[in-house]
Amino acid sequence: MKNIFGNAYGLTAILSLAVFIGGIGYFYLARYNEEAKLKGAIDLYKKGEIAVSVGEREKAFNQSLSILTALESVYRPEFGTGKLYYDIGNTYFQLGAYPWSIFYYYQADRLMPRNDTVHHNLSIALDKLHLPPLPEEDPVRAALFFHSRLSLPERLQLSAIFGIFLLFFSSLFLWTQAKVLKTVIAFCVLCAVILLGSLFYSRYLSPVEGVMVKSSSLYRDAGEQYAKVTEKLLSGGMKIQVISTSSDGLWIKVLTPDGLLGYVPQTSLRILYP
Amino acid sequence: MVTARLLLLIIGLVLIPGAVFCQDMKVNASIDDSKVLAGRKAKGTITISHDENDKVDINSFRMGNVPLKVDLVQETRVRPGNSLLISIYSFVMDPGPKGLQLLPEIRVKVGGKEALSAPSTYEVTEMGGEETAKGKAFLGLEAVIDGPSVLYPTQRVRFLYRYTFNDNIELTREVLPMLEAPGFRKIGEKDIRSFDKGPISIQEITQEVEAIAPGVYSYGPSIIEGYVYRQDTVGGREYFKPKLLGEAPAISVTVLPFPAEGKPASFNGAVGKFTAFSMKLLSPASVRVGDQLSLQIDITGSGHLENVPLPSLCCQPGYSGIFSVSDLPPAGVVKGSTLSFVAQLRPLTDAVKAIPSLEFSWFDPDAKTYKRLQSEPIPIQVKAAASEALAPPPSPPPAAPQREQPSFSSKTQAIEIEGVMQLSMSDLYDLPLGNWWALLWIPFGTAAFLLQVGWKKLLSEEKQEEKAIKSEEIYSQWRESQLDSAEFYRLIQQMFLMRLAERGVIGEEKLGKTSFQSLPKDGIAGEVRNFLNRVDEMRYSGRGGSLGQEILDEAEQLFYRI
Repeated sequence: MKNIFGNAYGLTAILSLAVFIGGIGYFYLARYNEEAKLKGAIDLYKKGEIAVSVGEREKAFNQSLSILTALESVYRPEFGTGKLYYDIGNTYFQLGAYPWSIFYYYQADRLMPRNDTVHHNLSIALDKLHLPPLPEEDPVRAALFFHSRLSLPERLQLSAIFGIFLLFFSSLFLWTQAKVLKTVIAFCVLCAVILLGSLFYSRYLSPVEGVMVKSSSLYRDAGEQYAKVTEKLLSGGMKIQVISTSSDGLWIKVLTPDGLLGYVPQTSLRILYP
Repeated sequence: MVTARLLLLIIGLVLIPGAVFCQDMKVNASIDDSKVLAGRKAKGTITISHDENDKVDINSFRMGNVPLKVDLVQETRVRPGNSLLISIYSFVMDPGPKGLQLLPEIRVKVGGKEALSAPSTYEVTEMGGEETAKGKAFLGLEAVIDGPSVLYPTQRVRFLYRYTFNDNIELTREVLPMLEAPGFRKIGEKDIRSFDKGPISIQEITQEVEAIAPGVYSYGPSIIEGYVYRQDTVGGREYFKPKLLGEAPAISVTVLPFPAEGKPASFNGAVGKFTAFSMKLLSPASVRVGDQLSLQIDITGSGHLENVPLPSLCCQPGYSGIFSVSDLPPAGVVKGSTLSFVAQLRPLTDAVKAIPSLEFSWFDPDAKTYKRLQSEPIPIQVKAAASEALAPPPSPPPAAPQREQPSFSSKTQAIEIEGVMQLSMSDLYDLPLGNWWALLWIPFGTAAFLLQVGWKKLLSEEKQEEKAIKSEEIYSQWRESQLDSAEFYRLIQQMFLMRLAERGVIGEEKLGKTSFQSLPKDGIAGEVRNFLNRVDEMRYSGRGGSLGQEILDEAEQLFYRI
């Protein structure tokens, strides 16, 4: 009876490991090849860049955009590298749809926070619409570099890596009682806790933001029959904070950078994720 | 004589007006047709004349002793100012078997008093078997699509049913699924047209519909049934067998989706033939930022212009982010062959110089291709908003090349932004361990660590049990050894020391290196020490031979107490 009980522990550990490895393998093996579509979209974009007439240019960019947005709707890499969003932003920019390009640039920036190219293009797009430029990095943000300079997916990856290291070294300490491991374990715990704190903030405390993709008035309540908070329109491309949505989902309560609270139609706003 | 005449006159003057003003209730009930078809409900009418102050209790109608359900048809005054009312009620009943039948008296309470109708008769007949005088009767049905049977969304077509018959026919059943046209939008009411073609009568029922979504729609089969009838002089009907049947087979309509190939980005569902597209500014061309511009957009063509949607101003080049457009789309007005929209725009920046060219694209169902027309751009002047105009003018923004709104054939301008990034399959997926599922390391890692802790604990318990088995073995050997032999004394010491070490009373490192003399003096180790001391005394005092069962039992008890 005791032997079986003892063997059960080992068996469980081996089975768990096998399932984990098998799951990862299946995930990667199950992907199907879309390389041709990606290549086609990039080629069309480049064709648009070298086009000699506006008609050819817009046709090429529109075709590239339709491929890229179709891929986005299928794959939705919200925890990905951000390159797809950057390319979509570029395509919208070339077609003159600056609010949409700004939305996608912000989206790419969330996933590639250290990438200067994204910042550069975003700044140009904001300038096109005479919107305030991106703020400079302040000392607090610089101090919390792991939060501001790492994207959410990167922080999740690092927390998982430190977690695995923690498990490994803790297990090693459990069996060997080697004192030098205590320092290593303490370091892993510290890093994991810091990253978990950052993730907790991102998930539960950081404000939800969105970008106006279409100009809209700001209403006092969820409906066009209500009075406007201000006569000035919220222009496309403006980044605002999302507070809540109406029960039917058609109106969104927002807080503007000027501190005005009101409602805008859901169709005029796209929410940034994650 | 004179007195008698005077008396008669007085009586007449009193009675006659009294007779006039004392209006009795009257109830009259009858079956509407003097001849009723067996097996079909007979319809009847009850007419009550009464004073307006005497209300009819609609729940008090009875035929014989059976309650009768009636419906009020009409209530009318005999003449204005007169208090006499005529109330008309209708009812239905089973006529009974073939032959002459009696409609019994009908009772009703009017003003609290009961009134009765007089019984009346009616005849119940069966279907006649004669052929019509005009020859053999027939009933035909055709289902026709008046227009193309292959459509595109928003195209219109007419669904038509054609009845053909050569006699008076009362229809008892009509199944006409095309008139409901599920999957299509009905335009207007049904149109019914009747006419004769020689001896044949024709009735056409038409419903105009509009295609909504792609698909293949099948309706039918369609059926009509009825009987030939003759009408008598009092309006009653006599029906004749056989039952006539008109049937039309199922009919299909296909709505094709707009082809994806060649679809312009500006296409938003317009179908038909169009010849002109233009814009005209209705408001002044010089405005401030945020002021309203009224733009008339005209589309000229043929067909159902009211279905043509306005080109999406929000999404065409040069509009998004430069102009704000009302969220409510303007309604189009059709005048002759031109559809006009008046759209409201507001410029958001003073950098804009013109309302850009707009593209209108549509699908030609005959040519099965998309076609486009462009409007000309309209120059405007936009000044800064009024509040900004009062302040000193700000420094000009960093120079960025201003994009004019060129026509499709004009040359392109320089690229302002950095190029695209090369994409690979990995860019379409989340980063490995890059989503919230990665946090599963916390519960799984904790579980794996706790499993190891448990495993380690189990292993140490097994080791302890092995050690316990070891001291048990020595005990067994001691029990088998010869009393008072060297082996006896050696084993007794060894078994107690081993037992104490297994139980953790002494360290394992002391086994083999120490004797019982170095054991602690208190606790269970002290008892062992005292016991072994006594055994040793007995051994070395020469009284080892007197070691008996008592010592063995004491040793056993002490051993198992550890």
